[in-house]
Amino acid sequence: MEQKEMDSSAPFLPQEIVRDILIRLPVKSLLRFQCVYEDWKILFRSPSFIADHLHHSSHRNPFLLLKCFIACDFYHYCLLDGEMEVHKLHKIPLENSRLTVRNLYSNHGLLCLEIVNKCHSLFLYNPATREVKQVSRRLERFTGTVFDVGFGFNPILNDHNIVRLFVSGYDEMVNKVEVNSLNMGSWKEVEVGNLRVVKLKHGESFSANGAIFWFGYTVKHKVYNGKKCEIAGRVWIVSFDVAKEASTLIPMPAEIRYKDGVSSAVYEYKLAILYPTAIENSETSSIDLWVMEEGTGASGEKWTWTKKYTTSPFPRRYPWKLCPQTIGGIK
Amino acid sequence: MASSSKTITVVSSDGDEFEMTMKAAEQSKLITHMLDEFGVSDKVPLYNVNSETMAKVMEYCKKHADHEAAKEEDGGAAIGAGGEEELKKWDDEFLKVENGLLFNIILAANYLEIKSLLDSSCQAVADMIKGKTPEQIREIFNIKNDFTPEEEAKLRSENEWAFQED
Repeated sequence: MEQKEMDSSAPFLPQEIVRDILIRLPVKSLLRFQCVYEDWKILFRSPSFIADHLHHSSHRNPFLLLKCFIACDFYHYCLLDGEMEVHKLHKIPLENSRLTVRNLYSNHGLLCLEIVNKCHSLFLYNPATREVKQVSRRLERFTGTVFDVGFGFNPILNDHNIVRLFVSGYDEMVNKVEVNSLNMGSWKEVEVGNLRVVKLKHGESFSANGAIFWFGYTVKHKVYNGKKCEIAGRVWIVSFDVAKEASTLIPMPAEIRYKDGVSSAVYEYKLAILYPTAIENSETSSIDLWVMEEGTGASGEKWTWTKKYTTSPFPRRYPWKLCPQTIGGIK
Repeated sequence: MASSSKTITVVSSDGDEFEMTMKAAEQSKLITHMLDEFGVSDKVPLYNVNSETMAKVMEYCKKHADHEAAKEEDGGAAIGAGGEEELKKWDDEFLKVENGLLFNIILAANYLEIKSLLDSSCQAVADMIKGKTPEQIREIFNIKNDFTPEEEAKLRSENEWAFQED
């Protein structure tokens, strides 16, 4: 007969079960419980525990990071939880300093802040543990301007990656790409590939499913009144696969025109587009959700887009910007 | 697969016998496998589970089996929209027991492979401990502190905000 009681206290629980309980705890509790026992401190820092914890909490407590445009290029960030309650993002450590946050990206529980002051620098911030870490800059002076940044997650190596795009000259086409791995802590240059084929839309990279996406359009030049003008041609999505370090051009449906307000999203694990359209003869707009499927469609193209939903109309004059970046459970 | 005849008998580590319907037994993967292997006629020995815990597990399996049966009837009309929420409330009340029994329920759910009970009971423990201090945690899990006072102080100061009230 097996009795599992020890003295008069609760029975001893095996490690896998204790782990199953700990995974369900909010990060604040985990940080406090690090000093319970050394094995626990080591466990909480192990990549597999972190991954399982994030997975569990992002299913129970999904959060959306909202970027609200206030005025003069200043963004205010807050979080929207599963119960549709808005929470203020805990003070990003650099907010009080005179550093200008140009952009902020989220992926897999981490935020990447793009700071532009005297020089371009990047910081990683974990809102759950409140740790901040500056990403190392390359020591050599780089030629060109950092045009844009993408923040992705490589599920194969369980690694966060930052992609830096450089442009030179006036045409703003990408001519250099560098990738930083959080695990390795260093930058390396990779082939530009398809990232140079179209002109990329700056400041709105989005990542999901192990890839980073940018909107871009083919550039056509026309001469009007003796002046060379740039015309936006077909719209594309450039998908940069973080693990393979290779980019692919994905054509968008012909109905989609290049304009402000288009944003990317993930719908049922597939890449999707939120596309605002003005409703004719009215002061209202609506938003269409287009979802992409991989696989050869009727027209022989490798990807097919389907318009899944259209929202009800809303007044066009409200200033708004869609930024559906999921941040995962952090409370 | 076992026929429609209705009940089986399980035996706890204390030697007590408990009767359960086939539908209730199906809540446990382990019992289902044992019945497939050995048939329904014999009593199923579950010597890892004592009688106090067994009684609770029986109650859980019966409740969930009844809930499933009600769902299948009338295409779910019997349960209604609030049915799942009500079941969850029942689970929450059901798990409001003292730690010793709760831990035994977890061990039994793990052994008997009753996933939903394992999930709910682990969640109940997590909810119960999340606001506690490290000392209380050590008491609950019977853990001996292996940090030196200096090491512990360092960890606490590095994560000071985690020790403050929300």
